[in-house]
Amino acid sequence: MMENPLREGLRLERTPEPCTMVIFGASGDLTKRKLVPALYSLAQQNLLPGGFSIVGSGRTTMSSEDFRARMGEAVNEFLEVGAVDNSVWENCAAGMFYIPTDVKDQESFKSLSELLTQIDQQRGTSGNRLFYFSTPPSLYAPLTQLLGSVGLNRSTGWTRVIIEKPFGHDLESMRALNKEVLEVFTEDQVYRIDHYLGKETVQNILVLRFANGIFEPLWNRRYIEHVQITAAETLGVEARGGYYDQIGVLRDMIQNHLFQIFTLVAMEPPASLEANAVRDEKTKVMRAIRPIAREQVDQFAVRGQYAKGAVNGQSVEGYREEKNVRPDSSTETYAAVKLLVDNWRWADVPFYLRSAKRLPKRVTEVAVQFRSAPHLLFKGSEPLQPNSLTLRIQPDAGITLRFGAKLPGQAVKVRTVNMDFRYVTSFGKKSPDAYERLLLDAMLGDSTLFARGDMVELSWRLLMPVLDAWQKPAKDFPNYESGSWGPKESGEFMHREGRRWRRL
Amino acid sequence: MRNLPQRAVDVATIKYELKELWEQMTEVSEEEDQQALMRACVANLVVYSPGRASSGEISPVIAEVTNEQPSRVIVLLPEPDSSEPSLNAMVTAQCHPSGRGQKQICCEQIVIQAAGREIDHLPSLVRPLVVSDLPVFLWWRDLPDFQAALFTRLVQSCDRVIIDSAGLPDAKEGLRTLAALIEKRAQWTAFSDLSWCRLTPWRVLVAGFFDAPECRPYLARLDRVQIKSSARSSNERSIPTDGLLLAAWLASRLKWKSTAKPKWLDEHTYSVGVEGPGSHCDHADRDHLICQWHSPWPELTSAARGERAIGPIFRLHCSR
Repeated sequence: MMENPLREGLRLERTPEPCTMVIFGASGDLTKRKLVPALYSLAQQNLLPGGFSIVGSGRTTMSSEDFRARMGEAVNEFLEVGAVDNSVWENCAAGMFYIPTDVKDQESFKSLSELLTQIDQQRGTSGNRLFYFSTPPSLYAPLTQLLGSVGLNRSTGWTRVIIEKPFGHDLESMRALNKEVLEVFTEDQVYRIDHYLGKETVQNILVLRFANGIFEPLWNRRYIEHVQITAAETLGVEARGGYYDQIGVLRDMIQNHLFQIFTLVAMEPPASLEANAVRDEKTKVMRAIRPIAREQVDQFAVRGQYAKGAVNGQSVEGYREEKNVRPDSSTETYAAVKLLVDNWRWADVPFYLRSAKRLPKRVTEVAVQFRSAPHLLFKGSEPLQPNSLTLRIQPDAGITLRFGAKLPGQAVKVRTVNMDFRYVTSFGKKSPDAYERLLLDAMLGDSTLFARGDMVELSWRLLMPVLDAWQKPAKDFPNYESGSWGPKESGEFMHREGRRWRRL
Repeated sequence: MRNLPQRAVDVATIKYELKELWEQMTEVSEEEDQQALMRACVANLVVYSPGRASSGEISPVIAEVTNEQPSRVIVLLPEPDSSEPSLNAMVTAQCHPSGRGQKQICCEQIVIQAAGREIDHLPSLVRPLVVSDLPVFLWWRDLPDFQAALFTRLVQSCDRVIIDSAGLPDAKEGLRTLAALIEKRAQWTAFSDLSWCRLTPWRVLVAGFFDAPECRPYLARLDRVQIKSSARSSNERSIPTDGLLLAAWLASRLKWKSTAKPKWLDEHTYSVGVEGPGSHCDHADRDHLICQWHSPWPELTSAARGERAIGPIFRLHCSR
């Protein structure tokens, strides 16, 4: 089929074909907080195709009218930018349906299949279907099998499936899940979503590196001393205690979000922005990470768990006092991991990945620290901090370059100063929500910003020795006060490395 | 706002006043414990807008633009009808809160009023006032006279010129001249036409009809396109620019070629015969593209038709 010639030169050259998005777990939090507001926002920007339909599904029994009403309330409550335009919402709501399904009841999936055929006929969606698994991970495999059993893994159009993280609990379960998914769908139908990749500032890492001539020549072991990638949260586990206690921060943040950011910082330039060209390079750099031996885990990783303390002036409970958390839990809420990349570009340049809950500040950033000047000409100045380039992902997204400048006066004294770029001051326009970008990409069949199976497997393989070692109960837990910058072991770990954590 | 003394307007004075303005604003924000100010600038925007009264029309637009793209704005308010030469300037700052508890983002605006022969000096005032090494946009809010010396001199200092071809007295001739100018300045200056921008929703809409694969074959079987425009022109017997642009867009995208000399079918209807490649057409009379202009067209208002007003009104009849 020829391309639509009238699209050539229009700002939005690619538009999705009319399709139906089926959301499993439609009564859940993600659907109302993120998915439906993101879809509404796309509709408001005229980015959705005509006939686009949404089918909500789950164990909850409700009518399509109830579903529309609930989603209408959700959009009003959670839409981040602007007010809801009733005419746009009415148009969206006209294409919304609900059907209850139960993984124990194959008949319910046959009814879903019939509904989708009916929507194809009535709304011209041509058999194009996007299934979104917004359910507990334990349902991913049964859902996949049921979709296959009623023939919903294929259609007259395209069929794709978006799977939320976590994709597996460890290497073995990841492989088992991958096998089950790939028995029903092909790899190019599977979109493993990591919402960090939908963030504008994460995508900007590629732009900074490959659209500017000045950074890439410095982006190697000759000029870079080490890199710190941090995702700090002020929140505790909130209402997710039961779930989080089985997971921990290594699985929740580092295995997926921080590894994705790491690959964008460390990968070689891709030949193009085509999905597999980018993902091939990301996988290549993952393969170059030096495996962590089980007996060396303490030299490569630190764990911690928060005790009670105060964050933002509020007293907060310790982790073990949180609801649905075991009172003797050894689940880590703080983790830092050192990665060494054995290739020409990064030999001997450590990458430190750290993430934790209940720290003093919410901040996600990548800090590239450069080597010091080879010879200090200006004696008598206070010790100079090395140059660094910090990519702030959230909040207050931007880029900061730190360098030395002469203090005004007769004497030559050097002081470290920052040069700042802030998105909000340069581009008043608010960045779209990550889910908007990712849902649109999935409809368009662009998987560049989604994790590929081999990369997910590699990340689990690399972290397994750490996860295995951390099975052992931690006698010193809890080991950091809420509102502090983490356990003292973490500072000592960096001290042994001859470095220190950035003050955020 | 700081008004500069009359007849004392030179670049050095304006720059001095700008410096004073920032110092004063910083002091006030510190003394009154207001949100801290941050000076920001990502571009220069030069607005040429004849008539003092026009400043009221452009203010909200400038506020919106600088909210998204903090810029140094230089507003030129010439009064060509006045024979008495005069030159006045004032400097102001526009501040927008950047978010809850955050700094205010501020950028500066310089307004220069000129009358009589002083108008000719405007380009020489603009050049030193633009912030170095940042793109310069010229928004020309007047009937574009592409040959005029003032227009030419201002264009030479700009990276992008924004015009509105809707007001061209002779659309065909005007667009031809514009095309020649764009080609001539291709290396240095880009051009944006607001009239063309207004057509974007229409182009997206028309393109959207043919996104679905089953609808696409019908593109090769179009036998008649009728474009109705309510746009007005100063010349009663002129084709409206937007109608012409939309027709030209369709023709260029679908690789149509003109087969007959365009002609007026009646007082309101302008017709262009075209031919497309590789036709699957089974219609005998597929050689008509009609650009039909109704002026005035009072009964077709957006309210009466329940349509969204997104520029001049077009009605599209696409039949299969």
